[in-house]
Amino acid sequence: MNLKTIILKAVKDVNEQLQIDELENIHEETPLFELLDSLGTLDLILELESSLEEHTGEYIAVANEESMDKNNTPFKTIVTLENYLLQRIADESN
Amino acid sequence: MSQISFANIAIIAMATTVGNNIIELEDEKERFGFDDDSFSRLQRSIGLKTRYIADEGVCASDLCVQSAENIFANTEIIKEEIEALLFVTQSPDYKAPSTAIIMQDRLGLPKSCAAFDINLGCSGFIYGLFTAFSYVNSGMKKVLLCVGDVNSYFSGERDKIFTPLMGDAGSAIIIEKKDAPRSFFSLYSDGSGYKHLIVPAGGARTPSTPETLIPKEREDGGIRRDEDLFMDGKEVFNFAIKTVPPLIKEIVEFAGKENDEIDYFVLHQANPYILKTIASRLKVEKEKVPLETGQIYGNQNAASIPGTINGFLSDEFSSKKLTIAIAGFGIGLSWGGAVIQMDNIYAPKTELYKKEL
Repeated sequence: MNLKTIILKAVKDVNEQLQIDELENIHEETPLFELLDSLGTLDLILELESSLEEHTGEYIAVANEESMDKNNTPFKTIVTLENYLLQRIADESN
Repeated sequence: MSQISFANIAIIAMATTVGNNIIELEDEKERFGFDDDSFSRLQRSIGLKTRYIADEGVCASDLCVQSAENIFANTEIIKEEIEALLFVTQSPDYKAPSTAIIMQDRLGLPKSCAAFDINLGCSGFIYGLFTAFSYVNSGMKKVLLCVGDVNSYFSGERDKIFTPLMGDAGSAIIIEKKDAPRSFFSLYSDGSGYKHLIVPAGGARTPSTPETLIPKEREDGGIRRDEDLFMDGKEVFNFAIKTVPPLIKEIVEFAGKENDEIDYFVLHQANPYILKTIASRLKVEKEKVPLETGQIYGNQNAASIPGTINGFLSDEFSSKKLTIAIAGFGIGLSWGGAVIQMDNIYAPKTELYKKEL
């Protein structure tokens, strides 16, 4: 499982409905959280949960108490999100 | 931190009335300007299906009066024993006087009954219940607590951000002194977040003007007036996920219980994903955390906890002794939780509003 590929696909799927230009050519530092509204972020969370479950066979809750906290959200960029999800997967497997 | 417990006080009856118009979200696509994509996105992320809305002109007090009359008609509770009527609402009949006072007369309660409104939203059931328990603890025989709102009072007619979430409901609850296990409450407020959920104009700070009554398209895509409710979805989500799991943990510990001793965790029905996430954080079986109320009835504000009990758990609460944890959280920001026991209470299924009453 390539986590970055999963994240990029999830963002692409969410953006099919949102049509946000900046998300069309997404790169590692694209400000994801700034570009998504609350429903968009929730959509991305659901997309990631379903994709991770498909790949790991287990439900991993992606939201945490900082998901929508503008200062500490792991959804700031692809990089922060990837690091966060790696940690979540590690936590779940322990 | 305000943690209080009460001995020998309990809820003995609870009834809920909802708006009599059942609206399919699909039928509102045009009204809110949803295209097929954004509509399916909303259904996927929030799971909305239907909502129950009152006719124009029907007030939250009308729904609550029907709920209270349901209780008086079907139990042995007599009106003369009600010593206080508390009405938790953000959609009063008038700016003044308190709607509860008018309800005292409509319900034929004695003039010796204290009556006043409490202005709170989604945390309102917990605060109202705490106030009712306090009054009974002070010596009152029975207290009638009414909680409810009609969303048209504060939500924009074409606000696709907020209005599709909302439903109209009014509940009535009777609290009395009786042999009962101790009940536990914990209440919180954080006014620094008041701007995250607010009706910005129409009060004394920003009085109503012709300008504040003009619907305008906002940055978030919603069309609303300054006198309609604004919600910052990210902040509210953040607030709920951050505050509710520790609140439940705290109140269950305060009650000296373990999660497996709690029969149900009945939480304010904000949105199913928030509830699912809270359940997962608390490591509670999902069957113990009902989450369908918002999807079927719409967000019932202060009435969403009784609305969930009457709407989905009526048979259980009518026939069993149940220990439940409850939590409300929302506008203010304000939040609170309680662990209480209910023993075979009168808890009929949710009724539709009957116009003839």
